[in-house]
Amino acid sequence: MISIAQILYACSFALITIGLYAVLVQRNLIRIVIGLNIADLGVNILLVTLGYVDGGRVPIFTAGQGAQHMVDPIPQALVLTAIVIGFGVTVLMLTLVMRIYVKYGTIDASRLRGLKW
Amino acid sequence: MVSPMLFIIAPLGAAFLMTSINRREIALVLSLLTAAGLGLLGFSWLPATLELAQPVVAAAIRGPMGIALSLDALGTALAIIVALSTTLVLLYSSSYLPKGHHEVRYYAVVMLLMASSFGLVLARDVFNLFVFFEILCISSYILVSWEQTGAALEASFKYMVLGSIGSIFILVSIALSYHVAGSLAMADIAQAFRTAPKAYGIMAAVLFLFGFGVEAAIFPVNTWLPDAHSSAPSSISALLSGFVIELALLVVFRVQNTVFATVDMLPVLQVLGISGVIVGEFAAFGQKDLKRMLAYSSISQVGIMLFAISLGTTAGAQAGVYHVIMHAGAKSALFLIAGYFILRTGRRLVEDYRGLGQRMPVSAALFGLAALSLLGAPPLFGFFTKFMILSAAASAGGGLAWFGIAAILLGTVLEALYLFRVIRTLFAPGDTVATGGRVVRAEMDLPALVAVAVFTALVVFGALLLPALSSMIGPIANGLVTLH
Repeated sequence: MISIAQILYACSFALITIGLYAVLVQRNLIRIVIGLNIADLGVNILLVTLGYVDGGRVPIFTAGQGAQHMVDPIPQALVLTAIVIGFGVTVLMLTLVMRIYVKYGTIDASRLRGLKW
Repeated sequence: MVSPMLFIIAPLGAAFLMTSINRREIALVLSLLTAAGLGLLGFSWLPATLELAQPVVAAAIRGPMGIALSLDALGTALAIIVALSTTLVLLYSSSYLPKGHHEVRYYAVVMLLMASSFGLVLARDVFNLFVFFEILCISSYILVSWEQTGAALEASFKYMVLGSIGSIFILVSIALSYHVAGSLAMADIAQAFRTAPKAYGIMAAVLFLFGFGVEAAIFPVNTWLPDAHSSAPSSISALLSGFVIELALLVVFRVQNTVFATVDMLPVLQVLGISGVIVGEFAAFGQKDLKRMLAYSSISQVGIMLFAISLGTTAGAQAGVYHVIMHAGAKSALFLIAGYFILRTGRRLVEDYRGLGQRMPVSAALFGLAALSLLGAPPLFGFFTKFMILSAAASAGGGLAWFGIAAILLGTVLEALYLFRVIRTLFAPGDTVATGGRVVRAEMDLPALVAVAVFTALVVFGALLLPALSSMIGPIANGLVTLH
């Protein structure tokens, strides 16, 4: 019997692989950014899955209930931070892509002449 | 005693304050005061951290789920290097940067870079390490793209792509460690890996090394460095080459030796270091652009440090730390002077600097001295650090160590060839005006000259500091050697 956690682990590794593959293969700068986002998403799913408990509860203490069957809140806190950082990096990358487009009139990495790619 | 938290709070506070005031002079003075003040604070703590076997601990939240920050001897030494380099580079920036309204933001981002550097040496749990690493990366991306030329934008984008892949690997490594240990504190994870299946430890260690290796410019994942360090403003190249990559390298070793102590990565690191030396020197040898040449030379110098520390002996780690100090001074001075060569002539290629030594004699002479020290010419500081690394490798013995010695010696020959090519061009008869460059008016401006002179004095007279340093180096290098 495959558990939900196993499916989620498989999904997260698939997403990381797809994302990194896109970064390596794509020449379009926007698609590279999207690839990084997909890989980031995979890592976030991996982190949340680490704290997953089958049939678990929201990790908030209420009267009369202990810590049994709570999902682990720490990976969730980590994921929140990671999402915020990922968002910031994405915005900065898109800004750069925009500036590169203004400068060169293209977002094809193979046609940028400033550096060797 | 003031909390080590000050190292993070003060620069962050200064950054927010100066952007809200938005006046150039205030931003400059505020950032200079913050950097210099924290440097002095670091010096005042150095004796205490050297004597304490246990680091000074400051926890924002106590307990197993708390956020632990602590300052040990290595951390204090690194904090001093960071603060002093930043102070001098800010002084240089005051005359080097073109005047304009973006200046305030530049100083603010430099403060963020400094705060995150301190955070990296203070953090004692892997997730905070990750957060500070990200702040360091993001501020570097912004500073690299500062001049917004085509090359700078491309270099910054390339750096961001590699940096983001690196941070994905670090996050997976953290996830794996948390899965095994159920905690994020470095001490707990280290404890858990002693009993956990070995495969977990190896996977987490390799992923972490790959992720942090991007920032530390370890051999296969350093392709961003020559572009980023040569397209950034020269003041930023000096910061990035001077301490950012070295800091990341030392953090790699500290984490490797505390968290992943069960995994023996040292032979791998030695091979990577040696490859870095060879590849970096050969690439630098082929460069015509002065700043690209210096950037490739950074790759090989980081390779030397990596090789020295991964020898796994006390002597190797100590020699590595000395080399970090020497390289911080020499490479900063070289990049800063190169910045003024470019500013004055409008040219980047070495061949265009023919005869520049006659128009900027002091700058050219300082460049020569710093280059000689980087090369390891006696009796300058660089000679002693390189000699210590070679003798540490010889006493460590083994085939890899001898191969490393051969690589470093070969690298030194190549380094001599390309650095002397630059020096010879600078002092050659002829004139930059004749080659079509702009008319060179003068030496560096006074603040920049002072900053460069201090860096150069460090690498020229550094050997005189050795007796004083040798009493401190023991505790400082301790954290870099694996205690089995």
